[in-house]
Amino acid sequence: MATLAPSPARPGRGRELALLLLALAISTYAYAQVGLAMEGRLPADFVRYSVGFAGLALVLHILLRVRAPYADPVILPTVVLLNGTGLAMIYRLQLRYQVSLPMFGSIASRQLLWTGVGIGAAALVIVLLRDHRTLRRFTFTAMLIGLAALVLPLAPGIGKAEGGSRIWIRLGSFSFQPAELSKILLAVFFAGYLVTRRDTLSLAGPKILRLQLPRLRDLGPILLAWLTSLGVLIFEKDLGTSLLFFGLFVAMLYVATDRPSWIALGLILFAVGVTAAHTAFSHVRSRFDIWLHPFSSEVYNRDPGGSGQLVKGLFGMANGGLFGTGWGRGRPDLTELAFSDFIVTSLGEELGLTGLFAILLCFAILIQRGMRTAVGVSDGFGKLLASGLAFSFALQVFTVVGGVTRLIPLTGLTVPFMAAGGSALVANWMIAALLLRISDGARRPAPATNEIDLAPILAAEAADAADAAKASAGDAP
Amino acid sequence: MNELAVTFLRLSYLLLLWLFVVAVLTSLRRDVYGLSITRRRSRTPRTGRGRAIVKAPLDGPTSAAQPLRDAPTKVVVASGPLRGTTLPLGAGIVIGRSSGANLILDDEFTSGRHARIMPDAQGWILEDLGSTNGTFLGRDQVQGPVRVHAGQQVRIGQTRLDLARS
Repeated sequence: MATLAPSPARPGRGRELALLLLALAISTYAYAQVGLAMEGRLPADFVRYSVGFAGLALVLHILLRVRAPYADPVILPTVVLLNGTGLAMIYRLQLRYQVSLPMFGSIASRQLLWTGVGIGAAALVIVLLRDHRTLRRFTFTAMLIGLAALVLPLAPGIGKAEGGSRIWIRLGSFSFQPAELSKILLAVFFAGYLVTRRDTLSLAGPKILRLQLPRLRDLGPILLAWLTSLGVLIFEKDLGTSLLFFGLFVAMLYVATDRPSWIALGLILFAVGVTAAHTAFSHVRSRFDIWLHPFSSEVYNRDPGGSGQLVKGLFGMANGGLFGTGWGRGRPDLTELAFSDFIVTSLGEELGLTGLFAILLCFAILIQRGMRTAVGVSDGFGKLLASGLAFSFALQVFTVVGGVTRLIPLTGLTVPFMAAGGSALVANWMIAALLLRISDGARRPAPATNEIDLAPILAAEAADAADAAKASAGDAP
Repeated sequence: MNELAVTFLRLSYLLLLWLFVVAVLTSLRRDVYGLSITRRRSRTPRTGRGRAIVKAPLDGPTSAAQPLRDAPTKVVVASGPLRGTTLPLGAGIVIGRSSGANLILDDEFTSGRHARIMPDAQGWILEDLGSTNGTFLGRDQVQGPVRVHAGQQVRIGQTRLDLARS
């Protein structure tokens, strides 16, 4: 006879430490290889970089031991590996740009600084947020701030347009992409809103073609989300944020209601939006041209909006082949924005298909841990929040990798944790911290209610007996 | 740097990267399979960690831990709504009205968890679980744990149970 029981949750902090050390070793090894290949020696600040990066990661690990001992042991090492690989690639590109473009000189040290800020923000989230359910109280505050952050770049004076999109705000010499932060806030809002409204939203309405549609009067929220994301597309000309916002809402709506008809409706609305944008905006149309005919010389030479960047990225990956050229031995710098939007092709060139697949698997693991956390956590709000945050990673990776490999048109989203960009890095570290916090709540064993723990009682009895023995021994002589 | 060193650096990095992926997946193995399977060696009752093990007072001295010859192995419902039902004692049974009991008696005179029959080294112990209307062994009401033998009768509410050996 055998008994089946779910494995008891183990904190797994030891496993986390082992994996973290491996991830740090790999990141440092990549950094060293870049210096060896490009300058024939270790990078000038090699010790400072490796000690600094390892120190930050280990501080976060120790913090988890104290504040969230049951957090998922895999999330932190995976994120550290992705971040470290991105840092090595940005440093590698900067070495080349120093020769050709002096103005990009500081991009690697800036990314390292933002990594520190990101890890600090993650630490703050873990320290200040003791229970993720606290966030539910801020559902509508999160909505207000999130929407305000979304439209802030349109405000005159502080908003600034860059590369055709108006998604930045500038305060003094400090510029920030507020949409990255609003991604988190809106995920909190969607989770808090949908967890209270999901019963209504999953009521059955008319049935068309064997698909059970929701009631017509419940279509308000999805239409509102759709109009908002269209607004972002029209006024800020930012395809990526618009897509991410709407995709996140539809995905969380599906998780909340378990009705595939919401996905069908979302896809229909998405198709309508894309068709409208395609006919109305030249910049959307040019993205489609680049996607469909990148190799025609007319599209390639068009300026601005030619397909040169995409084609160079494809050539780079072809140059890398199965095993890559090795760190610092390819020419990923030939592609424009190789350090941000096209960092995937840079990695594909120098690490090859083998390396790129390993990195994509790391993302898959990270997303799976987020979804697993959503399955494991017991409250509906936590489930929706964890699955929404994990889905936002998945959607970003899919649109970026799909974009640079010509599966779908380019959208201008960036790969989480890897691409250069301070706001995105900080926001993504905060998302990782939220997932760690929720997974701590999900994996923490429930306090025993029926069973009496005899160990302390027995220990006290033994101590009493020992005391009594000592006392009688003392009396005897 | 010569070609060999370059190739070594390139491939060793990829190898390490995949080592990380495999290490992560290995550490998630338990999570993927989810259940741990424990083989039970004997039919001794399982006691939860940290839970008190109740030693029933015995008829004879504890040292003679030989199984008694007339230890019952099953319960036969002799009267009442479930008349004719036979239940092996197995690893011990709980009798009562609650759905968590092993022998569920749908009877107004029965408590939710009325009584239980648990094994010890020599045989079986009957114990009332604080029921409202009491448990009777033969004619006597059960006060505390008592040893039971095959052929005895237990009355709970409107139901009479016969203890028997198969």
